[in-house]
Amino acid sequence: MGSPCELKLSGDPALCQQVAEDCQREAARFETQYSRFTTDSITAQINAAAGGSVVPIDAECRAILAYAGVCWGLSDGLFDITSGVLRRVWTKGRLQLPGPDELRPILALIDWQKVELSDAGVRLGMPGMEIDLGGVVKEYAADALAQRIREASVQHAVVNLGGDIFCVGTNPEGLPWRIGIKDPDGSGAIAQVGIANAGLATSGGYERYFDIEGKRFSHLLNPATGMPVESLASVSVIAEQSVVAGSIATIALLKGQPDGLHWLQTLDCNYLAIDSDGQSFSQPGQGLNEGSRSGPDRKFYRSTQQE
Amino acid sequence: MDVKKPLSPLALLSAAALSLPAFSASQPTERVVSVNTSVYQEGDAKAAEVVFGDLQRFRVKTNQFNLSAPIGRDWSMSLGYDNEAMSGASPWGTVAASDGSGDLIMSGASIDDSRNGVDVTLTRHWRGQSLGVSVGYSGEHDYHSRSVGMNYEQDFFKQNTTLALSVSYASDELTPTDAQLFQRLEKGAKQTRSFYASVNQLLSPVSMLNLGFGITKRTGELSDPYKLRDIRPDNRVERTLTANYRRYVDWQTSSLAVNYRYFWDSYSVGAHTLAMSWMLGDEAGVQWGPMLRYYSQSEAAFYTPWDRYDQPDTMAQSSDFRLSTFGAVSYGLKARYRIRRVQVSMQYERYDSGSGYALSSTKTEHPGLVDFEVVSLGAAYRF
Amino acid sequence: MVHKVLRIVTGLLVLLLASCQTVEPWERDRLAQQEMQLTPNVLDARLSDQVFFSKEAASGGGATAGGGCGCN
Repeated sequence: MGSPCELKLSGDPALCQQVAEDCQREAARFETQYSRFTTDSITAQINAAAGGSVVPIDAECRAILAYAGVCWGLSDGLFDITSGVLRRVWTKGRLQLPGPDELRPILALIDWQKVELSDAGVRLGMPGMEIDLGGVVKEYAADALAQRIREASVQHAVVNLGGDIFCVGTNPEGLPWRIGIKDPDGSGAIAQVGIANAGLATSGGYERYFDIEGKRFSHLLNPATGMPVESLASVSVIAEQSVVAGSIATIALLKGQPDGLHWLQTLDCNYLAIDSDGQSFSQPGQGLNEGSRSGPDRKFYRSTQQE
Repeated sequence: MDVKKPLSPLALLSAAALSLPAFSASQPTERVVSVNTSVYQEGDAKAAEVVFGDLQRFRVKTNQFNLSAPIGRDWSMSLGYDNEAMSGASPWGTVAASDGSGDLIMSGASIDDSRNGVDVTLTRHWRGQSLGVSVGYSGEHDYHSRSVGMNYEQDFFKQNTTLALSVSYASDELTPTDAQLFQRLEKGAKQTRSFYASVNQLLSPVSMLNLGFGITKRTGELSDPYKLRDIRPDNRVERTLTANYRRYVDWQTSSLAVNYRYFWDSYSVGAHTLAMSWMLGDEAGVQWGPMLRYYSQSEAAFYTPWDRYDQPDTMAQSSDFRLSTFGAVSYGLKARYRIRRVQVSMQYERYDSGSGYALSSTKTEHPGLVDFEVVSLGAAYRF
Repeated sequence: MVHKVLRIVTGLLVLLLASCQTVEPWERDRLAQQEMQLTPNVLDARLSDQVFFSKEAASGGGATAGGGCGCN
């Protein structure tokens, strides 16, 4: 997955061990099936056939692509899984901003609407196009693992896949799990949140960045212009599913400042957003699914101790 | 891609996420506790049309309770209880009057009875399918009913089409009060078997159509033991065809519901029911709207405007107004208000019946036709 | 009478079904609204069914089977 993953299970030791191994296998399955890098992953097959034939896909892949489509629509095109090709221009260690001539041929390959999803499978409309399901899959994997854990009757667990978290049940004492939100500026936790039976996703606008001509540019790129977004420093979102929390966080970051923040305010969910000046904005929110089995505590608290 | 802005991006994403394999689609995710209390009041019988008995007709106070919750990952349950307290007089029979129509004989003393009912349903969910079993009991001091039912649902075409099938069986026992005093039936039994099938089809992102067919067979003691002369066949087959349409309109975030039912049975009764309601407002706040219902029925083959003593006991007859030709118009207002996890709802409905409202023509209007009003208040808590 | 009604109903059926489009899961937010359901409120529906069952000859038309009563 490219980031540290952690599993916390509470209950019968033998059962937890078995469930942990099961989850590890499932996480590995997601990795190999959807990675851009392994040659036999479905993503690699789809990308290799770009501009060519239709690639048959299973129900899970279809649902993931359809979900990515919803995100595209909701974000007015900013969330586009075909925008990975910009990697070819924005290489690591780049010293200069790319010019319009450099970007033009690459931008022509970014178009979610050219991804043809049919009953037979999926086809990328133009040769050279690429899709990257990494973001959605990592968030969805947290939900999938949590489902496995629930199915195995483990009542208390935390799934943490590199910042995409799902908390199954409460902690063993019956209280919501306490999760720390990392300070985007440096070390330590800037806030804590208590969640039970919910997903939490945290993304940072400047987790990875380009240092060009003395200025720091976000790794998040606008698919229409090809240029970095002036983004919020960090967004954390709580939702019934990790995949939903993750998409909301990502879209908020892609919308940049202040649009991302305004958009978050219109949603009925809990979030914590920190802008580039270090100011934080939070909304407990009533939550669309407030009537569910999740615990009442979903507020973000200022952290009093360093992690 | 749909140009219209979605109601709520969160709702949209959650709905889209549900199509991912990890999430079990059909099981409901919330627990809901709901209660409702209502008062039903009939208008008094007209003195000019009553030869004997109390003019004050039925008043029913009802209290209802329901708890619905998911159990584990694949199951859900529903538990309901209701209680009715009834008082008032009801028609015992009809006699011929000088004006060509009938006059009512009402029960002398007003009855005071209560009914208690319990029902439990357990449902198993799979992806795209569910199977539920229910049992119920309802009891009054002179009437007991036990029922069982089964309900199956299956989705097709990305949940655009849902097929639902249900069967039920009820066994009732009546022990009419003061049976010996009034020479009534002392004990009777009744069975009801029912089958219902429906197809729910999504027509567009804002509209839906549901078509249903039902058949019910009642056997046993079907005559009304409290009437002076009511003799009905010992079996009755009823059929219904229903069409329910729902349409969401962006203006004022409102929804329109139109329900039509055609009913016909082996008593030769044919009835049309058309009900419409319009609700305005967002479900996160205040919703309100009017409702209108039109009903028309044609009389049973053995219906007679007044009791016939010149006919033998073996010949079916009934002067029950509920088997006469009549129509009814009811109108009302509904309002719902949601504050955090509680939704409060209020409803008022007025029902006016008359032979003039019926589609078929009739020579006389039964004096027992009722007009009534219902006021209802309820609350639902989701957690 | 029955045949006439059946013909009208079938006609409406054909008209409405001919216009239907496939609704994707993410387009179902409006359809998921409470008032768009067949039974927005279970208790209200039961009360209504009970009231009309006891005052009219027609009954049924849905799957709600509740306890019987001596009222019809």
